[in-house]
Amino acid sequence: MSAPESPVEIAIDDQFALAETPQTYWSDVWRRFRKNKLAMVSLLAVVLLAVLSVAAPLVAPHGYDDQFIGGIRENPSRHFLFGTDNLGRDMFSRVIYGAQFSFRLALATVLVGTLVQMFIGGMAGWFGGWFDSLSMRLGDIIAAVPYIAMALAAVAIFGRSIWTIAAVLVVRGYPSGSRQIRSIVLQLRGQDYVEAARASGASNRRILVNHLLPNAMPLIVASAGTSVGAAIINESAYSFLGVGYQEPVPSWGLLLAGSRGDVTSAPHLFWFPAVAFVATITALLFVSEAFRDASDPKLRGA
Amino acid sequence: MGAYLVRRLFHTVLVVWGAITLLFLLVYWMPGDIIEAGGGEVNRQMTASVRENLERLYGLDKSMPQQYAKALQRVFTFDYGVSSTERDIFGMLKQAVVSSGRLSFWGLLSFSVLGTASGAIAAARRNGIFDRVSGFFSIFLIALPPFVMGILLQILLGVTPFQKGWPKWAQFPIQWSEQDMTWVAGVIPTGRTWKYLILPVVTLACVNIGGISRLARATTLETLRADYLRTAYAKGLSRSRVLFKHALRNSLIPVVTTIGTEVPNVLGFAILTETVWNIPGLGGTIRDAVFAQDTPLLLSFCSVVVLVAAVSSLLVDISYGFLDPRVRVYEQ
Repeated sequence: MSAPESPVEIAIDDQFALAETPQTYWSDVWRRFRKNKLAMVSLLAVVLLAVLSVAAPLVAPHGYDDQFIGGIRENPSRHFLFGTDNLGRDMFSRVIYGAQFSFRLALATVLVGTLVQMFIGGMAGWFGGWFDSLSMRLGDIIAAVPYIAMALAAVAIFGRSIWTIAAVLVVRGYPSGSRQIRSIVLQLRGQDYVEAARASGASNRRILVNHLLPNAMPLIVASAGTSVGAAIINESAYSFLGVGYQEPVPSWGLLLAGSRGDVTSAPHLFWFPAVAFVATITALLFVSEAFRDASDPKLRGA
Repeated sequence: MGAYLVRRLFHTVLVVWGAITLLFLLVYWMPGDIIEAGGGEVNRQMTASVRENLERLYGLDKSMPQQYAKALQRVFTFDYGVSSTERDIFGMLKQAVVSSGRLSFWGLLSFSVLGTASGAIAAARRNGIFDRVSGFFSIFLIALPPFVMGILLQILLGVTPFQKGWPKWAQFPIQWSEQDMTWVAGVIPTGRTWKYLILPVVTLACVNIGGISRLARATTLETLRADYLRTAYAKGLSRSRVLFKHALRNSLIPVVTTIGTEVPNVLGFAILTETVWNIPGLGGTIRDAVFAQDTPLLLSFCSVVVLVAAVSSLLVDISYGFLDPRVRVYEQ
């Protein structure tokens, strides 16, 4: 297409451009998301981190539990980019592997957790009645139990494995998550198009799957993004308190807990995992925040 | 309002009972028991008669329903008995509640006030520089939970000033120290106590401030668009009068509610803060109690946490009815 020479031609060009690329909802979301520079940088960071964590065995120069005798609490150097810890292990490798362990657990938790919350919250919001009361009361009770007691007891009963920690995170996330989805469903339930679908004889399942789900999806996706961040924070908190991952697994929470004894002599043991942790969470939160704004249909065309 | 109160009260009792039951079951299902976990290898070699005596002391010779009934009775009559280390649980509890309470009180107060104020200012000057900066920090601070923020403050304001020989006023202690701290009226720090208090409080407040700030901003924005504000302006009232007398009160209602429901969350973060700053509070004892499988100790401490959370959410719901007349109308 040649460069437009007169205003009239610009107008025509625009018209054709519009006709060629019809704006679907998701392309519109992407268009608005792209405008947010902070969000784009964050998205890049998240993608980079995800690649890094998958490729950890290729990127990390050493195994996460390889010990180098004679290289204990060494400062960052050419050999050990992030220095070494109190057992002479390469911090760079440990931080990279830490990303892998954190992401793996967080993704599993959020996938399962979101499905559980969608099911419980959706049923509670749509049908109401005894299921609603029961699931919400149960959620209140679970939310009331101090999480550290629940996590510790679960680990003692079912053994300390990634599955136990994931299960605890799913159970802990269900009260607030399903309540959120329940309120979305309650809100959508009163909409005219739901009424119209019901009037034309659609079944409950059809309304839920074909009408409610597509409308609730942007909100669910946005909150799932926040949940990945929350899951990483919670997993790190559990590990920090000694109820999550256990040595020698290099969870960021464990690395930070391990740095506490050496804050005076070897602060690099704190700085590197801390920066990795904060950067990851911040990027995740900014991306999901920007997505939330971009996917809001009320702002469409803005 | 009466029927609503009764229903709400019933709900509170239900939640407390449910949480205690859940905790009892979890500890009951844990392999081993308080006697083994408490003494380790030594206790496993004890004679049968010693073990029998201990079992009688802790009520382990009873059936499960009897143990459960005993546990419930202890919690609801505040007669907690002794821990596995044979210390008076009520006394331990009092000390821990005081330490945790001071930290949580100042943490809750500072993040509520600062969060609400920053959110309201951001809304009043929408899209201004303050709005943007506080918007960034309200998300960024979530990424700084106590186990990052606490150690960060310890390094920046405790260790570095000491190592670099900065003046005394710029050096902060990196440990909580009960015996060096003096208080007036239980919560007001006196003398140099504030130096021990301030960094843990900042640690606890920072992670919670973002949520409140964003909520206060959203509700204030909504209020600013309301018809009654336009009416107030049309009556010829001054901007400050409209903002403080008419807008603030209404925009604060959801904020107050959220602060009330945040209490369990604050207690959760307080456990992390207490661990980082070595504060002898509820969190640390709960952790030790599970490791020691100390059912009486665990249930008594957890019941206090559960009770505080449940009562604060109850109070919020009741005050909500007084603050917002619309709620009362719907509940009748």
